[in-house]
Formats: sequence, C-alpha cells, structure tokens
Amino acid sequence: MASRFEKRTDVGLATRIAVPILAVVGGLAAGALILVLGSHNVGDAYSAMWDASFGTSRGFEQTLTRATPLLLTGLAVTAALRMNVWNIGAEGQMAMAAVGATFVALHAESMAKLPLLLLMFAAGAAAAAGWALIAAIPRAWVGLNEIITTLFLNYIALLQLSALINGPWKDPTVVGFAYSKPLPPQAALPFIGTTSVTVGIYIALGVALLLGWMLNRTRLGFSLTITGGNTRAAEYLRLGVGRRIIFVFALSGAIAGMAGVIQLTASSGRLQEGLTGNYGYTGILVAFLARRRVGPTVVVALLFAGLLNGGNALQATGIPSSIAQIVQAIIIIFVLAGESLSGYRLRRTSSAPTATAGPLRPAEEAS
Amino acid sequence: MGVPTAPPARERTGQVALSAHGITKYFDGKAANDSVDFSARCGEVHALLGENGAGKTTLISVLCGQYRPDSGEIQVDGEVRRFSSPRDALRAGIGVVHQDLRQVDRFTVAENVVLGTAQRVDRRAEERVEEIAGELGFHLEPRAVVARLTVGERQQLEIVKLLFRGMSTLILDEPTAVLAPQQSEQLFGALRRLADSGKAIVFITHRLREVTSAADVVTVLRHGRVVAHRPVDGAQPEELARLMIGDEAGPRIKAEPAPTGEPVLELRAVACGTGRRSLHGVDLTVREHEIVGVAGVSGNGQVELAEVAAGMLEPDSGDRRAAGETVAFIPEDRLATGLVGSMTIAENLSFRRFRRAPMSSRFWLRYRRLRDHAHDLIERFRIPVTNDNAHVASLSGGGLQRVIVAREMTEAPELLVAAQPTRGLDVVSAQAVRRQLLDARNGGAGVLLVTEDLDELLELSDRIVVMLAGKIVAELPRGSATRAELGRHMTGAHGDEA
Repeated sequence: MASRFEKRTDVGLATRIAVPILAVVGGLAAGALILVLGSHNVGDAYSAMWDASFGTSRGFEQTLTRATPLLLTGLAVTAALRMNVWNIGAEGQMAMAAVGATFVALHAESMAKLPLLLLMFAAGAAAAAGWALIAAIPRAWVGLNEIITTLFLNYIALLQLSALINGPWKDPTVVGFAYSKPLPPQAALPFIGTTSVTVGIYIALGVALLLGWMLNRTRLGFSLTITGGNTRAAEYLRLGVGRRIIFVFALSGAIAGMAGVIQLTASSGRLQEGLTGNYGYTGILVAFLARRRVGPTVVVALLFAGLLNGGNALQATGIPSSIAQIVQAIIIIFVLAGESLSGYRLRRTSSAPTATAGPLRPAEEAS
Repeated sequence: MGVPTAPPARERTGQVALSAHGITKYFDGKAANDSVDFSARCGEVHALLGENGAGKTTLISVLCGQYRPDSGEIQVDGEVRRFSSPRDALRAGIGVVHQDLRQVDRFTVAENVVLGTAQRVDRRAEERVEEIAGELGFHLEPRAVVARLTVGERQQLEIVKLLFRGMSTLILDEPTAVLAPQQSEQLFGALRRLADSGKAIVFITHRLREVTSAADVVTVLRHGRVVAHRPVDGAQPEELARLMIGDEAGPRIKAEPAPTGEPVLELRAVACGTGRRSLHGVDLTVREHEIVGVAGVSGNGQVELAEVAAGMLEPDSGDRRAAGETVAFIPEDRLATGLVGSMTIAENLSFRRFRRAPMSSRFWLRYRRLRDHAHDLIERFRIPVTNDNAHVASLSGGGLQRVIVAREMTEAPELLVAAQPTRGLDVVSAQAVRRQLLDARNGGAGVLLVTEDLDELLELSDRIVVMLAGKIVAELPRGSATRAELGRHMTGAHGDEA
C-alpha cells in the first residue's frame, strides 16, 4: 500500500476548529517527551504553564496584557495581507510610534491626561504610518520588494530609538541603562477596574472591530479585497493599485504604531530598548494562523499571548530557558503544520502491479 | 542502450492497446464520467468527440493516471492496470499530449526529449530525435532552444518526446486548438503515419470536420456518457452533431448586414512590446453597428490587440481613441484577468457596479443590492451556482465565462471587446453568447471579436482582419472570406510557414 496527499477544498468548520486543538494537544505531548528526556516533571511544568496563561486571574490578566500589542500587530499584518502585501516592519513601526509619542509627551508635559494621550496616539500612529510609507511608495511606484524594505527599516528604526535614549532624551539620573527621561504621569494608560490590565485591550479590540468593518462592509474594503485578490483584475477595473498599496501600508503602519504607543504608555513609562518585544514579528505568525481574517486574529492573538506567558512560566519552575523555548517552539510548529496540512487529505492507494517496462525505467516525468 | 521499450510491431494492428470499462468518476456529486467504455486499437486513429464539459478531459485524465476512477477498470494489452500516477501510465506505454505543454523553455529540443529518462543528451540522442521527427515530417532541430519554437513546433516536440520513450498509445487533448488549418492538416498527417506504424492514437476534439477527415473510429461523449461508438466511415456529420449536442441546439445565427455608424474605436499606428507577443503599427477602426472579427494563429498579437482596444494595455507609440465611456471587455484569460478567484460569484458579478449607487453609497457597500443584482444575472445567464458563498474559482471554465459575459454584457457598452467569448461553453450557451454579441451590435455597439473559432468568425463578423506577427496582414469584408483564405493569411501569405 502506498499513500499520497491530495489537496482538498472542502475543509469544513468542524475540521477548522478540531485541527488546531489536536495540534496543540500533539505539541504538548511532544513537548512532554522533551521534558521527560530532561528529567523534568511534566505535570508540574504544564500546570505552571496553564496557571500563568489562562488558569488563574493573575495569569489571565498578563495574557490580556500581552495579547494587546500582539493583536494590533496581527491586525496590521492582516490589513496589509488583504492587499497581498507583506508588512514585516511592524516592529520598526512600533518603535517609531513610541518615538513620536515620547516626543509629544516630553514637550507637552502640562497637558491634561485625555488630550495628552489622544495626542500621543495620533503622533505615534502618524509617525508609524510615515515610516511604513518609506517602504510603500517605492513598492507602489517601481515594485521594490516590500518584504526586504520593511524588514531593513526595522533595524534603522530600532537603532534610531536607541540613539535617542542614549543621546538627547537620555535620563542623566539613570546610570548603566539607556532610558529616556520619565514621561509625565498623565501619559500612563488607565487600568481597567482593579486589574493590572490597561484600557489598551479595549483600544485593540476597537481597532479590530473598525478594521473588520472597513474591510468587509465598505466600498473601500471591497476594492482592497479585489486588488489583493488579483492585481490584474484591479487594473482591468481601473482601480488604482499603487494608490491602494500606499493607503493600506499607511493603515497597517498606523495600527502597528498603536501597539508601540500602548507599550510605551501601559508598561514602561519611559522610552527604552526592548519596548517592541518582538511583537512585530510574532504578529506575522498571528496573521498567518488567522488566515488574514480579522475575527480569527483576535482569538489567535489571545491564545498566542497565553502560550508566550506559559513559556515564561516554565522557566520560573527551574526548567532551563532553552528547554522552555523548545517546548514553546514545538507547540507552534505543530499548530503551523496542522494549519498547512488540514488543506490536504491523505489517500491510501494500492500501487499498480509491477510495471514491465523493460530494462530501463523510462520517463519519470509527469508529462 | 537504445529506446526503452521496443516500438510495437505492425502485426499488432487491430489489437486493443488500451481499454476502459465502466469508468465512473464523480466531482462534487456530479458524474463527469458515467460508466464509460472506451477502447483504442493499434493502427487506429480514434476521435473522442464531445462538447465542452462532456467528460472528455476527465476520461483521458483517468486513462493517463491523473485521476483514479470511482469505479471501473483500465486494461493495457488485455491486462488490468491500476494507475496511481501519470508515471505508472507512462511506464505502461500511455502518453498524453496536454493542451498546456509542459516544457523547459531554456532547454533545447533534445534536452527536453531526454529530460526525465535515464539517458544522456549526446549525439545519439540528438540523431534519434531527428530521426523520429523526420519520420513524421516534422522540422525539429534537436539543438534549437524551446523558447524559440512556435506552439505548433512545441506540440511536435511533445509527440517526439513520447515516441522517444517508446509509448505505444498516444492521447492528444484538443491538439488543434492552437493550430492554423494547415498546421492541423500536417499534424493529422503525422498521426496517420503513427497509426500505420502500429500505434494507437486518440485525439480529443469538438470539431466534426476533424473527425470526418482524420479519424477511423469515433466515440461520442455527452453529459459524461458514451452516446455512440462507431467507425467514421459512412457517418453523417449531421448525425454526429446531433449525437454530440443532443437536440438542444437552436437554429444557426445569421447576422443581417446593418449600416455602420460613427467610429467607436480608432487605433492609429499602435505599437507595443517586443518579440512575438507584440504589436507593430496596427491601424484599426471599429464603428457603431459592426462586428470586426480578428483572426490569427494563437500568439500573433491578438491578445495584445484586444487589451489595447479595451484600454487595459497602454501602447508604446501610436494613438488609441475610444468614443464612448463604457468599454466592456471579455478577456481571454478569465480567471487571471477578469475575475478574483478567492471572492464569491456574487461579488465577482458586482465588479462593474459596486462603486456606484445603488450598490454602494459614498462609504458603505450595500450587500443586499449586490446579492439581488447577482441573483438576477445568475438567473438570466444560467450561471451554475451551488451556494451563495461559493467562490468563483469553484466554477468550471464555462461557468467562469458566463460570469464574465453576464457582467460585461449588462453594462450596455459603446465598445465591446470580446476575446474568445465562447471558449469553454457548451453549444447552447455559446449560441446565447453569439446572440448577445449580435444584439449588442444591433443595439449600436461596436464589437471587436477575437476568436480562434473560424466558423464563429465567419458567422458573426461584418469584417475580418487577420493578424500575423503583430501586424494586420489582411482585411476581408463580409461574404468574401473563406476558411482556406483565412488560413493562408494566418500562416503567412501562401502557407509556406505552415
């Protein structure tokens, strides 16, 4: 008996839901094997992961806090992917947004809380959108590959941030670390009730709602979907492809920028390195797993944040960080594999009777 | 080592080389093949005749191991075989010349032939290629780079490739679709010689003329079933047509001459591109109330002409003037140009209107209006829709064509550019589309019709222009054009290139 993969188009809803769940279970099982090989207690490790992600209210609050920037970067990539362009630059756009918002906060210290925060968000989103346009305009006009340019712009943006906090914005009272001067206290995002979660999660969910509406219910979103689905069809309908690429990049950058401003105003209170936390890159995975759709992006971002927190918790139980990262990576690989393979079905085939084709085997080509 | 398997001797003539029994294959619950029996004999040219969608391509896909049948069996030389891939079928001596030829453009003829076999590209291989080609009357230079070959030569290469591998059964999928009449004759001559040497030859067609002139035996498929299997000798074309189509076909269309009006499209010295796919100094006028037909062997600039006419392609030099605002365009490559495969049928039907009231306001898209419009078109143009959210890519070629035709025709265009508008349609729908082209013309539109179906061209056109190597080489008024004359112009003056 032989078997082979066949592409299938009839992936039902049940499969769509069951596959990722099975993938996570499979990933946990494979991760358990690694833990056992390292003589760690699997039960303890996994219960620590669960507590730190969804199992306790403290863990869940942290998961929501992590999910906030992740959801926004995921949405940023999703928005660009709707037009079939890749925004690998959310990381740098977050950094530039944080720089822009810091600039506002340091120069408007006397403003009241709400107007200051609004101004910071506006400045951050604008800075990030402008940063994204550096890649978008050459892509739209001469077809310069946006994957390369957005990626490289990340390094420039992160170095720019670093230069500012080591130079003009450096807090002279802190020795040994590069921090900006502290932002005024009004520049901190309020918490929700008595939790440790800021209203940033509401902002992120609001952006998700607006983006979903825009993409799926408006004339503009419809034309973006056409353009992303088939550029030639868009030209045929005289939809300006270049203009739409520029628009969607600016939008994507602005959304990623919101993540940068939230990181600045929710957790650090200062501009500092590491503020972007790789959320820009992880957002690409989130968008990919959510199949470029807004609703699923919300769910995937939440689950991913839980997984990241759980992985950190593993390290806290004394398991070496390398092992913790392996376990984390295995789960992600299982989910990615499940996602790709669920588009196929395994078919068993009986092989043909032995071919009697003479001394040489002719023609290996499927022609 | 020579050729992998010995060519079958002439003595085998008359023996069944390949047969299929009770082949049934379902797609989405619909039988594309329903208990099909088929057999190809050595020494015979066998035509597989049927409308688009009759199940011809499904059947050969089963025969060559591309699809596995849901039931039924295949026998090769009387022995039951089960193919799990085209490779198995090749090993059993069954080779297919597909419509889209899969060749490595940058390799030479000989390299393409040898590719995938265990042999080397050496003098002996080149000589063998030359020998096989020579026997068939093909002028194939073993060291020529494939990118430079014409479509006809590429097809010849494909045949040589299969013979080099010692195939005993050759199946050709609509081989004449891309050929000029004279080239088709040359091909059929070669197929006859192959049959005479003991090979079993099967070709797919929907053209009766080819069956009666080139085949010994014909199997007619309709709606996935075999409706006739008989020798060609003594078969009446009318009878074959009726078998193929059923009694559904309406009367033939006759275009009444009408007085033409003002120009709706003027091209002056239009040039664009380089190489084979280009235009060189094209002048063309299309007026109100007329259908201008464009003839030509595939790849001589017709696609470019259609795109320039429709305003899709900006000419490098020269002028394009279109009188009206509304230009409708039925592109040749439906899914690649006119449609978005990942969107639903209803959405695709809305493309010309979604930017205007009542389908949208300044900001919002009104999905209800979009769906109403789609339902209306789906009904009027009988688009086969399984459910409201079906992606357009799930439609067959004919279904895709109906979506585009429905969308473009409802816009009451001043200029209609139609490239291969009936390709992939069954007879009834094709007639309906032709009817609509005529209606558009009678309603005052200028129509530029690019088609490889010469009968369609002769039937509908008020004028026919012939394209060769990016130029218009002839213009023939209604009534004076014949197939033979078109064929001569299409292949370059007097057929010396055929």
